[in-house]
Amino acid sequence: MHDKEKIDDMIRGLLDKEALNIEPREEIIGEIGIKVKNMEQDSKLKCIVKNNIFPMKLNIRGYVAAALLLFVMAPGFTLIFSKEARVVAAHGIDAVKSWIYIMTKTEDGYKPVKVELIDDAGELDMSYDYTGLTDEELSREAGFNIHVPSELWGGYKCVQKTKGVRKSDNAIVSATAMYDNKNNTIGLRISMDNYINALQNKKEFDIKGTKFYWGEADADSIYPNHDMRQIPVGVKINHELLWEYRGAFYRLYSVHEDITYDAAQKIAEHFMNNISNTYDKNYDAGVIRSQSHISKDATTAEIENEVGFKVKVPESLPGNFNIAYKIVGMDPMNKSCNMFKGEYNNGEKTLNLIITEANWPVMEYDRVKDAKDDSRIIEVEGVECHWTYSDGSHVLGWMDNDVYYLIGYEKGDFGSIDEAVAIAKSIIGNG
Amino acid sequence: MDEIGLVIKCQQGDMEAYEALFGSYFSKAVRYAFLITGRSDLAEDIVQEALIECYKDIKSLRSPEKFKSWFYRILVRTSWRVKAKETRNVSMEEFNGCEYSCLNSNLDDDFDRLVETRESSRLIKDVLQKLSLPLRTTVVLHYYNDLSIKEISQVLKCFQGTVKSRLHNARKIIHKELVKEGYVCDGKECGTNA
Repeated sequence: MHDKEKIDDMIRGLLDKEALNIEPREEIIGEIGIKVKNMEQDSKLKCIVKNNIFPMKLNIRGYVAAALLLFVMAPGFTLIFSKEARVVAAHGIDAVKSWIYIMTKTEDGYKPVKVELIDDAGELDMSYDYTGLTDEELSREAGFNIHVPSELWGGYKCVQKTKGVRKSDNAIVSATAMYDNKNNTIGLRISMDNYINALQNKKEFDIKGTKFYWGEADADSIYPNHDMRQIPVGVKINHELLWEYRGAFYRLYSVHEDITYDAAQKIAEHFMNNISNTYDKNYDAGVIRSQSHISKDATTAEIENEVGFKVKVPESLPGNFNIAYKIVGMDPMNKSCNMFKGEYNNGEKTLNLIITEANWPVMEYDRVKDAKDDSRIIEVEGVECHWTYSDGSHVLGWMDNDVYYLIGYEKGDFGSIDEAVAIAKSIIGNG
Repeated sequence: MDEIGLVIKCQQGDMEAYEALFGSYFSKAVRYAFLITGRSDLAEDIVQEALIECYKDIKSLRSPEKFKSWFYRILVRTSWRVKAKETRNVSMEEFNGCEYSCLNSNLDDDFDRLVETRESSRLIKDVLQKLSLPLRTTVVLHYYNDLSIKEISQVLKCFQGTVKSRLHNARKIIHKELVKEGYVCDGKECGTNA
């Protein structure tokens, strides 16, 4: 044998023999899989908390603060409405706590896992912003075809269109649309990310040559009393509808009600039959394009004429509050809806009254509860009201005549629930 | 399913594909890390770290057919990083087998006999220690992980000529060590070790 070959054989043989001194544990692969999943969820939680993003159903105080701010100032803030946001339904602007529980799928079913939230988590490389771009413009910028339908089967109307931009290279990587039918909210994400194979127990069907996939996606944890610091008592399996259309991947998910197979088929059929109807054409019909201060002396009828729905706007409220400003405009959180904001002042404090036809969040959302959290449902003048604590103060909200009312102080908190109830009574009983 | 199919499924978030894909590389990866570091306690950590990085980055792999080079590149990078970090904290395990005892005078240059002896472990450890990290990595990837010169050049992002010269240099050093230990002769007939 040639010397070189002989040396080669010796090296090979020595290494092979030496390598046998370690016996790799095959189960590590599975352990890494679980670790990766946990890390992903953890990372999403950290990033979302870190970036002060206001998802719907989130921290109501944060939502209100954002809405109030945007209502008066120029829009231009970040909003995420995504699967990730649903996972962290408790975390608003400063609700950073050390840990929560989430349910993680293992070979033995779902198990609770304690997830630590670290304040110094890295920056999320994504921003989600409202976009006024048409589908055509968005497609051109993103480099893939985007079609945001104006409506979905089930009476869902598109109320919001956002673009997901990767900050590191400023690339548009997704478009997200939000649909509402007053009872439920549906999200539609369009991107080049194919999650079809991630669906569990999926069913496949064909509409006009396009394949649709319906199946189980991530499960939501069910928390006792919506408190994410308590060990979940179970999981709610969510179904999603996924498909590929003109080279891009569509992912449709629901916020409150699950998507049944029957509904998925109807949504798919409606999508394929209404391809030409885009959000661009219809989304702002009947909506006040720019907010404006109206006269302090404007009557209820004049306000109603502006916003297009019935309102109860007293000129004064208990606590010596008198109305100082009246503002009308598009609900910044739902561009297909109008909103009224009344600003009351008593010389010391400013109280805001929001009236919107948008489906605003209610108090039953998962969150990290603290000792001050006394959120509950109460009845005022026969109307179900949601007394909600978040971020150190309270708001009181209720539905009246199919529109949503909410009162809260611009700064500070109600002295007691009775103070808020007295104000609510005066509004409900008005007119 | 072939490797490219598994990579594509993995990129779509399929955990079963992930396990199948990385499962096929796992043992060789752990043993590579063991050979590079000489420590079994570090080997699993390195591979865990590398696999997690692979999972997080696999979507960025634009050519699934280049998976092997891509995977080994992450593994090498991780092993070097860990090795550098551990340089000051030398494990006792690293020195196990270093208690030098005289070689059996009856040993000849018969390789089969050599590898059957308990001295082989000490010998290869000694030999690998003589090599710089890039040379050691090149040797292990080539002789143990069976990567071609082209593949190693992709893993290490260097010219194929560089890989060849590293192998040549490593071979010379190893040969010298083997001669010194009496396992091979220096161009002469040799029946026993020195």
